[in-house]
Amino acid sequence: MHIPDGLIITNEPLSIVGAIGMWIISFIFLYWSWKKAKITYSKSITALLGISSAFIFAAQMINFPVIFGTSGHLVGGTFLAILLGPYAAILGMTIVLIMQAVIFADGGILAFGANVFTMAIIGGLSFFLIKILMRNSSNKKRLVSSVFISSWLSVVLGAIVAGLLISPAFPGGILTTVPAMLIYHALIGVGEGAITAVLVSSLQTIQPTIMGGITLLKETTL
Amino acid sequence: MNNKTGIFFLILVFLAIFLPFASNLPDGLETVVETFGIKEQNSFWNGLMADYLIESINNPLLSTFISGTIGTFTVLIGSIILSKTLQSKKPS
Repeated sequence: MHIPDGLIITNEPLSIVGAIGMWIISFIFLYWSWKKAKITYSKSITALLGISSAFIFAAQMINFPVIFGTSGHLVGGTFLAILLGPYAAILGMTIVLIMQAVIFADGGILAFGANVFTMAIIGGLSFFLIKILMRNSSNKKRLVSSVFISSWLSVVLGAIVAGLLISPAFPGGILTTVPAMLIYHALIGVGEGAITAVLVSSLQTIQPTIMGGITLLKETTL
Repeated sequence: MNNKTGIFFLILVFLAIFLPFASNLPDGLETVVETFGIKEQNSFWNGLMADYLIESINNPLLSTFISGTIGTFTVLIGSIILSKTLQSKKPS
């Protein structure tokens, strides 16, 4: 879902407005996340943030096949959110996206604001959907199903926003890009949901103490 | 979680095991672009290791693995630096 510069910037002036607008919106969200993260964590999250972000980078390199000759990979925003809470997740995902764009040209520089919004911000904020679905419950099955739904929706919502942003490059505009992105990512999202649910379920069994987000689910508010 | 180095190497083991099985099919966005025959504008930035490949290494799997290792390491370092800016000065 990484939008390249060549798709977000077209000859249409509207596309430049979209790219710059997403930079501004994402910067505001990142500043907000950084401020919130500073007051949210009472102990150092250095090790967990570093390792989990590094894992997400590696996991994003492993594409899995989906039907219709397409593939997808874990985005990981929801997974980071359940590990670290929404604010550190947004920041950690942004580090992943910076390295991908700068070193590997995976996602554009002008499109960076758009990519941060569609993957880091939507992914991190999916934490609050998990919180709503959990309704203060500590039930493991409920957590895993809430994580599945939230991670699926984070991919689908991200794809819809990406579809809107790339629409100036397509002759059919929004009516072409949004449904097409929606169809493919509704399927890719099932992979995202399944992988995230398995990771969360496994970690909760093997190493439940590192699932900081579960405590944060009850404590964190917008 | 004190053993960051050990877990970092486990991530590389994960990468080494799964990379050979990674799909080369286009991702969702690329499929949409190809389906409608859209030609992308040229990008002004092509990265240091475009497409997760190192030019001087001919074996594509090894090339991707090494670039992935570099990427994983830079994300680790970047996240650690970021997390240092989050630490409050109040006594814990």
